[in-house]
This record gives sequence, structure tokens and C-alpha cells, in this order.
Amino acid sequence: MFDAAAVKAGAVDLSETNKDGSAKIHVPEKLDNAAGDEIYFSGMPSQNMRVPKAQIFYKLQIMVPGADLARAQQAKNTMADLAKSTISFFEKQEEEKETLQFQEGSNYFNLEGRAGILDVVDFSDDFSEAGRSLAEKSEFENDSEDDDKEVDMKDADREEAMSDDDKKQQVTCLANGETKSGEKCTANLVSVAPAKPIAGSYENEMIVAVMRRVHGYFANQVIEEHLDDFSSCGLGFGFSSSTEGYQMHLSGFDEHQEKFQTFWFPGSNFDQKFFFKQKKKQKKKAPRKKSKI
Amino acid sequence: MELGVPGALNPIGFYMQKKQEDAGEDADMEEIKKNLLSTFYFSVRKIIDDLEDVSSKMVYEHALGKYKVLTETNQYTREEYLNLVKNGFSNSEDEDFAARKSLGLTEEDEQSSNTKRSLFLYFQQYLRDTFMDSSRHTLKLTSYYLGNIDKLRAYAMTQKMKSYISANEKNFESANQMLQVQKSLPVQKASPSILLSSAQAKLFVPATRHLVLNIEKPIEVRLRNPIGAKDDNHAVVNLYQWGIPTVKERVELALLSNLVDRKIFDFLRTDHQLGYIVSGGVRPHLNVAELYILVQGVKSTPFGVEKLIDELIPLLRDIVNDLEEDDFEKRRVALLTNLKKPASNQNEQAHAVWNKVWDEDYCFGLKASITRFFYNPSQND
Repeated sequence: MFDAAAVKAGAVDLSETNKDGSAKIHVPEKLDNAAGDEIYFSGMPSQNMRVPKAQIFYKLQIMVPGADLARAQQAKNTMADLAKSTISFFEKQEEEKETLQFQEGSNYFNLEGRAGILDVVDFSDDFSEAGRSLAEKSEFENDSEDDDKEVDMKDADREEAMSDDDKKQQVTCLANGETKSGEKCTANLVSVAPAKPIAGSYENEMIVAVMRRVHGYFANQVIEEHLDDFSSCGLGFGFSSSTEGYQMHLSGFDEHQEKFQTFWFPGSNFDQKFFFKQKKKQKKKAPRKKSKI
Repeated sequence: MELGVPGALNPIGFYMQKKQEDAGEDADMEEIKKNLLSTFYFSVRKIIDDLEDVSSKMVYEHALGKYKVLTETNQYTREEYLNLVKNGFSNSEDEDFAARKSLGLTEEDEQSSNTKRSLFLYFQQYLRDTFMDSSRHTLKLTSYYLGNIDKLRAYAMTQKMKSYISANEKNFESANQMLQVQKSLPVQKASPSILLSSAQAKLFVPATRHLVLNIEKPIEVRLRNPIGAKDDNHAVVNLYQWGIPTVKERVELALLSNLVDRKIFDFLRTDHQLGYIVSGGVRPHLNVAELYILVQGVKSTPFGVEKLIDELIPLLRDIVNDLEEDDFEKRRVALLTNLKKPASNQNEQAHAVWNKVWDEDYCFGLKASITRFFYNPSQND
């Protein structure tokens, strides 16, 4: 079965890596309970990427709760490619003896190039101090029961599949005074600020500058009415043009980040119906206040 | 013209899609397109109104805006923007009504047309060139995640964004290819500069690159008050470039800023009562440090204010010379306490890092380096 429970239990496992850096992914061939078109993906690499190649451990979780089989297969392939490239990325870092430390609370990728991406640079090391101070604070913020359960489940899976060396590594993390689960940051809130994706090379940069300004105003005008409900749910969204491109900002509960992303980019398909269904459910669950007579 | 499935980067498509969804099968496309143009020109009108509203800013803000145009790349004046938006395009609504029929035109049709295109059509062309035709421009995506999004998920989200931006997946390098490119880039392992603490950061900005116009000779810019006759204020902003400071210099400048700001205020505001808005100190301007002195008022002309500022500069030197050891120690401890104070919330933390990314400064470890310098001033930076 490939439902939400199976996902939480780690139905998809990337614990085996081949010599060439590729990985096997175990995904059930048949998908039941297909009832929507959401594709959700989350990943959980090991705590510290300094570990030698053989000890690199990944767990990918893929949930395709409503896709048809073909779509699910497509999702699986996408995830497999992603996993391969990710593993390859970290392994190459290891080969070059880069001191790449995994920093859960704070990730930064810089991608640039002509008509695509030529470069990936990881600045995680630089955030270690910032992330630590934040993690110390945020440990107290994560008191949701559901979240605790999910973290426990992930930890259990992780422990089961961990080698002894991995466990030692985790102990080291604990000894260093990180969080209980070995994760450095467990804050519920997240700020995401992907920005300036576009840098034009027009003959007349002035026209581009004007177009960007017009774009910023117009886009805000158009999406404004669709975002009213989000702000009342504690989710922040910002889109603005700047001298070198566009700056975008997301803040709020991290589980919605991927959905929010879809408001930015052509090619995305935001499922508003799903969001409002969830909202209605929440309303139904919430106890009504009794009016005082 | 097909612009792909919409998002905020494609507001035209977003609008059309939402309106069609709302109207259902009975959607009147002509009506929707008409409303789209009205909404578009409403935004343009808003831009023009904002640009024309000079009184929403004070004179010194206008002056600082001009300074930005003078010293940074890709900056344009309010007048330039206004002139282009108002007069650079043939943007009458009548023309666009005729032009809206071309929404369905092919690219060849549009290119063969010699008629002066409207702002809307320019905008449409801009969206297509920027987001759909990846052969025409360089893409750059920078993302920063803070919170409980782990590395792999952040990587996945970034990859997803990459694929959204891509009009044609084939134009993008595969992940493995891009990693090979990264491997071949020359990473400098060691450098005497702490300014860019990360070895990777050196890939982007050489430590000596001024992100601000490097002024070799003094420049004086005199402009009319854009607010006009109804505002009698003059604004004088003197800015002294310091260059790209080292860690040691940053510490010295931070201490200096603490010392001089009070003196500047006392001399120009309290003693000479030049105006309500007086301030001064050391400020960062992208990766360059600047000493700034700012006065706005009606009492004296800019010539008079400038004379007084010239008188003030030697007095600032005296403060440093006359500084007693006890006083210095107090200021040093206060600055250190301030530096060690962690970010009060996630938003503050995010912006502290993001600003460095945005300004292409990449000095993420700067605060730590400055703090270390306090404990060990003899360290070699």
C-alpha cells in the first residue's frame, strides 16, 4: 500500500547506494487510494554530511495520494532523479573534502548560469552559528502533539536503518549539544526567500527596469484577492520587483511552503480547492463558542 | 500567445485562468480580455501616480535616491521612469483595444508588425522573452531557507523552482552536469581576507570589488528640490567613502560611529539649529563603508551648511584624540554586548542573512569575525 501511513513509515527508502553514486528506490508498483492530484515529497538525509561515503544514509518519502498510476510513476522517476543528483552532489563534496556540514535549520543554494543552472554552491557552513542560536530558541516552540508524533516516527525509522557508525555520529551530535533528535532546528515557522531569478540582458535595460516595475504592481494587483485568506491563516507571501529581478518571500508553517511556491511560477498548478477543503475541515473541528445569554 | 500555466511571474495567464474558472463554461473571453487590460492599466496608473507624487518623500530622501542612482548599477531616476512609462510607449487604451486581438497572434505576426506597440504588448513580449525564451537571457535563481525545512527538501524546492522557470526542460543542464561544472570552478581554499569568510563566496565577489561606484575624485551634485516652490527645505547629504573595510576597520568604524553621531547632532542641530532633520554616522552601502552627514532645513542654504560641515570634521577628529580610556572601554563593552545579542526572532534572522545574499556581500561569518577580533585584536585579517 502506498498511502500516507506507508509514507510515514518510510515506504520509500534510499538506504542503498551504488558505486557510481546512484541509488535504488523502493516504490510499490501499484498505487491504491488514488483520489487527487497532489504530489508531496519530503526528504531526510542523515544528520551530518561529514560522514564517509559508505555511511551516507538517505530516506526519501514520497506521497502520491491521488494520482493515477502513470502520474505516480512519473513522480517516482522525478524523485529518483532528484535523489541520484542529491546523493551525487553530497558525494562529490565528500570527494573534494569540502567541509560540508548538514544544517537542517538553514539551507542556502545559489544556482546560476545561462539559460539554466551552471553552479550550485552550498553555504551551510556559514550559517552554523546562526542556525544554532535559532535552534536553541525554536526547541521550545515546537510543542504540537502531531508534530511530535511525526518526529518520533521518523526517528524510529532512522534508527532502525542506521549503521553503528551512523549511530555514533548521532551520539556525537547529541554530545555537541544539538537537539534531542539530532536535528538542529525544529521551528514550525519558516521563511523562504527565493529571489531574483531573472537577470535580463536586453539592449535597453531601462525598458526592462520599467517592465519589472509594471510586473510587480500588476502581479500584486492580480493575485491580491486570491491571497486574502492566506494572511488570516498566518501565512505570509510577498512578490516584488527590484533592480535586478524579482524578490519573493514566503513565511508560515512549513507544510504549506510547496503549495505557496506554486503562486510564483509559470508551470505550477495551485490546488485552491484542496486548501479550502482543509480550511472547511478545520472550521468543522473547531468547537463553537457558546453565546452568553 | 501561450505563456504557460500561470503564477505570479505570469500575471496575465494567472488572471485569465482565474477568471475563466470563475465564469465556467459561459466565460466571455472578449470581456475577460477587456477587463484584463483595464486591470493592467489600473496598475500602470498607480505607478504613474506614485512616481508623480513627489511630496510623499522628504527632500533628503530624494537626495539619497539620486545618490543611489549615481553610485549603483541598474538604478534609474524617478524622472526617467516617469518619462518612459508616460511617453515611451503608445499606451492609449484605444490602441490596446485594437491590440488585444493580437493576444492570439503568433510571434512571427507580431514581429512583422511595424506599428508602434503599446505598453501592454511590450509587457507581454517581456514576459515571453524573460520566462519562456531561455535562449535570450541569463537566469539566476537564489533561494534561502530558514526554519524546519531540511536540506533535501530545500534542494527539492529549489529544483522545483528551477523547473518552473524553465520554459523548456531540455534547455536546462541536468543536475549531474551542473555539478561537474561546479567541480571545475577554481575554489580558492585560502585567502588573507576574512571579509568573505566562505571559500565559495569568493566565486562570486572578489574581496576587492566595489559594489558601489568607486569615487576617486570628490563629486558634487546639485539638484533642485523636486517638491517645488511649496517646499522651502534644502537638503545637504555629505558622504565620505571608506572603501571595503577589513574586519579591523569595521570594528574601528563601529566604535567611531558611536562617537561621532552625537557630536554631529549636537553641533548641527543643537548649536546651529539648522533644521529638524540632522543625523550622521557610519553606514554600510552595499559592501562599502561610508561616513554620512545629513541636514535638512530652511535656516541655511546648502552653501552655509557645507561650510559648517567643513568646520565639524576637525572637531570629529578631536573627539577621537580626546577619548579617555575608561570611556573607550565602556563603548567597547557596549558594542560587544550588542554584537553578541542573538536575533530576536526568525524573521530578523532571515533578513540578516538574506540581505547579505541580496547585496552579494556573502560575509556570513562577519559578525563572528568581528566578535573574535574583540577578544584577539592582534589577529591577522
